[in-house]
Amino acid sequence: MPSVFRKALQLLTGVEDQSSLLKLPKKRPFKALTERELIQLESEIGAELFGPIPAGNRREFFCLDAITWIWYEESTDVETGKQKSTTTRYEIHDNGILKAQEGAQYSFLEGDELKNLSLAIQMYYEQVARKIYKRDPRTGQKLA
Amino acid sequence: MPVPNNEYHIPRIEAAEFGHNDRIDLHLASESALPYDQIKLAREAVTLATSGSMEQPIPAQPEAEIPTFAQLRQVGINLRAFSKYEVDSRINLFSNDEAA
Repeated sequence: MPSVFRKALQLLTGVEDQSSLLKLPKKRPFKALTERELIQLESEIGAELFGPIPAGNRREFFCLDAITWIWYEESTDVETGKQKSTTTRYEIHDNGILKAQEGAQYSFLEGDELKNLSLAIQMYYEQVARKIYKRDPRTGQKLA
Repeated sequence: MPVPNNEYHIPRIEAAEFGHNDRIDLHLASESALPYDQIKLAREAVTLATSGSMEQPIPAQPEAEIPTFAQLRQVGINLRAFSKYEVDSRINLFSNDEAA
């Protein structure tokens, strides 16, 4: 199939050696990170905000969209050896933060959990803005 | 629920306001900002909570500023605007390169 493509290109361009036409220019540092991959990078920072992750566990904490934050915790039960995971979705509304968990009722956050999440979001923003997007979190401007 | 402190501000950035000239239009609610030492205190507070759950109380909780719900939502808007800008500017760069 590639030879058919080359022949077609040769017919169109009139150039016999197509190798130079088929290569992307190297001078352009094109890093095709998708938004999803950027969020995964954010999550690596987010997971570390709460201290070391126990061996064998996995944690994700990231901002999914303007109002949704995801907390994911995966661990292995020491006694049974079974893996268990919890996904918690936090939605930020005008009147509070709604917590949604599988198999649990929606509830508005209060007390320590509300305080901890608020602080975590602040820290996440501060670190992600600087480390990933190279922006000043106070102004949003690109860092020099 | 702790009383949110209005002195903390997060710059308001709309994704739609991102151009491709490396400039962001900001609408700052106020000139005040969270001092760096407050951010440091907040960071230490959460780092102390090594339990792996936000439901656990943070020991030795220092005086940290708690943002309002609107400010927290602005964080999400800003972050997604940053990532959208990164993705869009790369696509734009690719298109310009191909056109040249």
